[in-house]
Amino acid sequence: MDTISVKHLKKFYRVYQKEPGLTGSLKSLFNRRYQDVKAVNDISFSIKEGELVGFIGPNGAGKTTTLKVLSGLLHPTNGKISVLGFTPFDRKPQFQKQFSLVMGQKNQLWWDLPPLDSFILNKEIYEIPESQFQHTLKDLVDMLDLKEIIKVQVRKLSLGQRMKCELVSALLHSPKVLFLDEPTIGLDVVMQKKIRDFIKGYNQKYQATIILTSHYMDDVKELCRRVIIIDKGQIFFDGSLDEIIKKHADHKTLQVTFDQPVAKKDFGPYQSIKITSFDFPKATFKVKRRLTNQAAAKLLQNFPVADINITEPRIEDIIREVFTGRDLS
Amino acid sequence: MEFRWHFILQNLISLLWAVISLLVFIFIYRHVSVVNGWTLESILLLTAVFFFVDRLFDSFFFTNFYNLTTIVNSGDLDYVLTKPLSSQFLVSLRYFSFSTVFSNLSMLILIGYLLQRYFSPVSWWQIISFIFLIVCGLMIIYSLWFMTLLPVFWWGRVDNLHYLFSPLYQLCRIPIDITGPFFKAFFTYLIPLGFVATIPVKAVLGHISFGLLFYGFTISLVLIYLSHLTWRFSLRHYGSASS
Repeated sequence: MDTISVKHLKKFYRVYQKEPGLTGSLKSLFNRRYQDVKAVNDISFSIKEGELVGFIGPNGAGKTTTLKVLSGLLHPTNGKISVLGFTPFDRKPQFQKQFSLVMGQKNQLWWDLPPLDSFILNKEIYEIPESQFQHTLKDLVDMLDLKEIIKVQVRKLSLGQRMKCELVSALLHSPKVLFLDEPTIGLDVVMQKKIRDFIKGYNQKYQATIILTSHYMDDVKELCRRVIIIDKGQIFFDGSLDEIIKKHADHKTLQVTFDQPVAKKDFGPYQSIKITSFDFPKATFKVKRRLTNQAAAKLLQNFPVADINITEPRIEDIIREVFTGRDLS
Repeated sequence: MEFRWHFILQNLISLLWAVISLLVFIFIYRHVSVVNGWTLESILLLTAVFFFVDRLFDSFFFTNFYNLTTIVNSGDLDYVLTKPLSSQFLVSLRYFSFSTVFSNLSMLILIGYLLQRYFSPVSWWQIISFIFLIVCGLMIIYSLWFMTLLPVFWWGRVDNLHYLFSPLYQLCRIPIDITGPFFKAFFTYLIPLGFVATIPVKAVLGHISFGLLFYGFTISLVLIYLSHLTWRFSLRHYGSASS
């Protein structure tokens, strides 16, 4: 059985629109124009035990809404959702003890207390036996290198330290399912990497099923074999990262450095080679994937090339192209 | 208790409220000796009981009620809802405040004094039913007030919602049986605000039937359950502010 299964999930919000200014406010007292926002509009997917899946999409795509529905915070407008065999919105304690939600933008640690106090509170709430608690805590604190700070007031911690502590408090009850909503937001690259390594380690060590949303492609690239891309409340793509590259990146990039002057127009006769930037002595060209070798050979033969570098387009660029209107047939 | 002056002032203000109310009755009763069976001593007792219950309510629930409307709007209710505990319990009893403990103790002393001075002997049975009814009264007030907060899930930002019930609640400080037979029945059976002060006072004076005691217990359980149902229903409309 799938750990997570979502069938035809829809979540609509009703919002009202107000004209700007005082007149707008007065008008809206008597007459309101409502609008349905289709945050999630008919999505379906399923996830197996131990999978680590990346959710990507622009702001407002419906990623967080989906995670909130899966966590039982939001009541779906329509659709059948099952997580670990439970319907999330019933919020059964047996379900809640087996999953965790971490939101990079919201904190659940008590602001004025040291993290350890919040951890102990969670121990009571989740009814974690003392020995298991000590063991898990030690494990997590070692993995994240937190020994020095768990007794310092949360308000005095840095964002990175706080995020690590948020993770600890979310993992103390050893959840089988973990929803991470932008866990690396606002962190520097070093800290991002640490959090990433930790998530990977946790996934492997405990066979936890994890859904991760992030705006940082590095997170997704390093962690997730499978990604689900959503935009405007619908799924655009569900599969492996390699597949997106194969499917949507039909070109490669050639970065060339010349050792003698060449002019832009010299490349005119070569139809298969498109110039994307030209700044002597460096230039980059876009070439159809299957013509890459041919094109590189031509460049080497006919131009004073000092150095040539063939690269796959960056995953960020592919995704951006996907979102800025190229259709995904 | 970090802030000493806050604490002192809080108690003073709370005490002053009670004292003024008591004085008002003392002045009124210079001109009458009894209002529909209520003498000055019994009205003072009623006032003291009301303020006692009021402060208990404040200490346990009011801060949380204020907080509830805030966290529904800010989306901080999220983490409450993911915990394997009753979410209604968590939002209702998350914080409690000791800040009016002295004012509360003085009300308790006043109740004790009035009972001892004017109404003794008071039997154990009367005291037990008094305490029991106060607990029922708290449950009733809690449920009714809690339910008036729930529109926050639909209306969004309403900073004054936690005061919606306040005016109605003030009715509790007058004896409900001076309101006439219709309202008396209304406030005893339908919207049972009588159980907050009037009925406990009558119980300690030995004026109520066992049936009413039983009704108070039943209705408070019914209302608690109703508040639970409405809470669960309202959560369907939780929008969880964006993050």
